Amino acid sequence: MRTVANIIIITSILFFPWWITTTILIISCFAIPRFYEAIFFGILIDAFYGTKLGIYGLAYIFSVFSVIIFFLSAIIRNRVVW
Amino acid sequence: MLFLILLFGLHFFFPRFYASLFYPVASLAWKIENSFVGWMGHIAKTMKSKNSLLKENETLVEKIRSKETSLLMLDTLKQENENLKNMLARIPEGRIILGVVLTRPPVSPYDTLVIDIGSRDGIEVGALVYTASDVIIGEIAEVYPHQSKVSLFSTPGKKINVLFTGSKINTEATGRGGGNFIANVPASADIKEGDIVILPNIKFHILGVVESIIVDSADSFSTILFKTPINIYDINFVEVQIKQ
Repeated sequence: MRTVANIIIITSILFFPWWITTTILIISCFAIPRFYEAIFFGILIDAFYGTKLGIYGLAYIFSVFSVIIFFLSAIIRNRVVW
Repeated sequence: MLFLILLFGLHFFFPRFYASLFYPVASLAWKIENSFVGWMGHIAKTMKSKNSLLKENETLVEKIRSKETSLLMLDTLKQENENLKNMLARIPEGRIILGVVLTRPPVSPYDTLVIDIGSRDGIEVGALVYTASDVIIGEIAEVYPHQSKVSLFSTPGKKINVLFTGSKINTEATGRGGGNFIANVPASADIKEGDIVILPNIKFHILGVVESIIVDSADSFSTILFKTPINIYDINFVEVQIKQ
């Protein structure tokens, strides 16, 4: 499942609209335990498409977002019975 | 965890590292996708019925006829404009190089394009980027050996000086993403829907067309919403101005 998720996310980063990638990333974080790759994918999106100026002066949005989602999903997963 | 911090640190202190590493592979994937999409489009076109093609052809012929006269006039005016600039020694420097768009919004969340020309082709950071020869869309933000990243002027929050050709008002516009802009001008300014917006430059390049004007009777300023005349999501080729 982990490998499949990784392949889908990489394909999505390259070809699909960013909101689809974001949705898949969030789902993967919740569905797969310790999905560390999410942080790397966040960094990759910023590296591929981001600039120093970012959006409204905010750069590294996806890197920060993926870190937040990673830790948030870990906390929620520990407190919820799936 | 330490490894992830290292990854993040690498990205923070060397922002070009990952792009330099992965762009060659990604670029290949984007090129294959572009060819595949082009091929699918071609197949779809050939599947259209003869009847619909005939109707479309008739409509297009009508449209071309109606625009031919104004185009003739436009060509003459362009030529006259160039001649005047040459006489006054105001010739824009540099030459234009064509680039293929590898990826664009909405795949890119930052309102950026990745194009297939880079430093090996003479591209430099800050070079202006055009499409459809007369529409200016952005500037080069990052350059790699065989790819470049184009930051569109419509990037959310990006500020740019613009000139409304109808009323000759020069003001600052802010990008709103996807080729959209917003600007505030005095309510008394004579700006109409359909007015052309350009960058104050010696060479005439269209930045946008006024789409909507929001007037608040309690405010001394009106809000102007304007948009790039081409669809940012459909750009396949761009022209980059490089120094000689």
